[in-house]
Amino acid sequence: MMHFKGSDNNKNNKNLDNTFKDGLRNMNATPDPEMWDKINNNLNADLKKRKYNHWYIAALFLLLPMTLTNIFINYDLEKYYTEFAIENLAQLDGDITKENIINNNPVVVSNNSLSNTTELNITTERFQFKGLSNGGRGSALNSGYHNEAVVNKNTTGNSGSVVSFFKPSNDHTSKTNRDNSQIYLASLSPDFIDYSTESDNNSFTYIENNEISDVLKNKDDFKQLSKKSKKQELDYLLKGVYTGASIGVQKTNILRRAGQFAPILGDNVQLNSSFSFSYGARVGWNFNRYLALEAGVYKSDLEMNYLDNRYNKIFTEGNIKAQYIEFPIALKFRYAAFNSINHLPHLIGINTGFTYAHLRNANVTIVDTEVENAYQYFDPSQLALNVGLDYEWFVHKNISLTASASAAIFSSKGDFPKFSVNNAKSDLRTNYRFQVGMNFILPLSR
Amino acid sequence: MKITYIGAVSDEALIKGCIAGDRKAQYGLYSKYAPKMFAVCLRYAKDYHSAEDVLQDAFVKVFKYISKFRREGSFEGWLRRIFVNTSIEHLRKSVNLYPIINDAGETIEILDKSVFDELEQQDLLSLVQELSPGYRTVFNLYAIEGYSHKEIAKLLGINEGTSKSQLARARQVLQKKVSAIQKISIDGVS
Repeated sequence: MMHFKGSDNNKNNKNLDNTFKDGLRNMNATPDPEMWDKINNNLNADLKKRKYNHWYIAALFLLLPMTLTNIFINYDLEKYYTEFAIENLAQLDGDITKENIINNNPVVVSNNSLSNTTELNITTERFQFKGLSNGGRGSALNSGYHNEAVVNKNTTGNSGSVVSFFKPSNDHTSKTNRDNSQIYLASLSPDFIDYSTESDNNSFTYIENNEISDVLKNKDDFKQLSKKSKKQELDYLLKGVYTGASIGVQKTNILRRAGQFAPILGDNVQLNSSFSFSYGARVGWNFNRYLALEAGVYKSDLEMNYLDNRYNKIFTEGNIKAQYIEFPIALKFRYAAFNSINHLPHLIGINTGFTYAHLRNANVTIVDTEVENAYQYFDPSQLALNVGLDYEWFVHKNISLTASASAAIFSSKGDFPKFSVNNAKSDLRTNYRFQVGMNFILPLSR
Repeated sequence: MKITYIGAVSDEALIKGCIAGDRKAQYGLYSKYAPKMFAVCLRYAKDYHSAEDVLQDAFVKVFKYISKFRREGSFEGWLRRIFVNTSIEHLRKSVNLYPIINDAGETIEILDKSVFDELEQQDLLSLVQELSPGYRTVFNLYAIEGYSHKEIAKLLGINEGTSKSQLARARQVLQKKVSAIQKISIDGVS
């Protein structure tokens, strides 16, 4: 054995390397016979997991439209009773006087005011409309409701609106005037009225805002009034401010700063987002039944795996976790109607607006090694254009349940609104979000 | 699960079957390449069980991403890279791969080539496995897989100097161990 330095070292190294290379590079070794079973089980588990993921997504996409479609298909405006408060002016004593009424017709009233001293003397006679017989076709109510209306006749000391939109098929006492008015009025479906002749005997006088507004002579008149009344009622219920909260799942990615991301992951990594949670709170203003403005603050988590395709397609797996705080503002365009189940409003709408997002934290793990200061590789301030669909169901006149689906395209604040990766400081981020929540409505017109 | 795999099937057919999720094709590919790839795993892993874990993970990865094989090089080369990389990932989980060392000025003991000829395959494997993880990884990548220091540096996230020093140190350790084996052998004979 000798000791050398210099070129002999190289020769020696080469010998050593070649010996190991020749001996080991094409070596074979037999693994445990049960190894395949383990791999097979692993593959089955992976397959099952992917299968379930697909099912969850499919179910989500199917359930929401199915539910909405079901509700709206079943909703038929004319199928349900048109609800009006009926008074026989002969019995009405107060702000509206007998002399104002044509032919002493029965009266449909809406949005009228009564003085504090007014007492509506409701008796069975008030249902004895001209040309109509009590208890049969053409009567105001079925006999049972007829009597009930009479029982609930305490109308003393009322103020405010006298509008009744309760349904004859429901309990009067719980479906009477929207506020605490104690005026229990009957309701009437136009289907009960005999329209065979258009005579004054079959006409109804419609009194709105303490003035005679119209004379209802036929079914179309009632339909018109019905539509008008429903719209007014919707505005009445919806107009105001609201606040709420929601929670849901989302699928999003992360904005990588071009060029700066390469040292840890490369610019050509394959990023795979998984579903993550988001939750937040909102406030809004319902201008009317069509239009609302909403702003919110949401915390959203991001979790995604990536594959590093560098180095001749050798895969390195890793994980990115991030937290955003987002401030969306959106205009909401809605269609509102009364639902057929609890006869309160439900709304379907689209919304569009902007979102500012701030990246609060970001962690990158390569295999199990966490990258230090990974936050610097991502874009912290982002702006997005967002669109969404939402559905709102009132379970109470002040409480509604909400469901929404939205999509947003984020770019770096400096790039906005150029939604292009060319010449951009960073790439794009998309966010698909599904949420459910609850709103509390503070009405301003009630 | 028992699968009977009959006859020699080309890599191309196996790949197509695996892309389609055919379990028989997956088993065929496993049967064909498991012995070679397990040897790769053994070289990088600290022990037999760790090598088995790597083998399992790497094969799952192969079946998951086999559709990404672009047929630009040999399939075995692609497989080998996945196994090497998975081995490195596993090592990273448990150990610090790259201790800083100062090996300047050390004298290297030169061995006769005949010394190496006497070493069996299993001896070589044992010698490599006894190296510390950092030395083992760099030595495997450079001497056996044929990676350059630049490639190793990129792959492991270190600089080229570190890669070179790790290799030099690995060689020193191996040479010492080979010398020791030789001495034992000579003493035994005399």
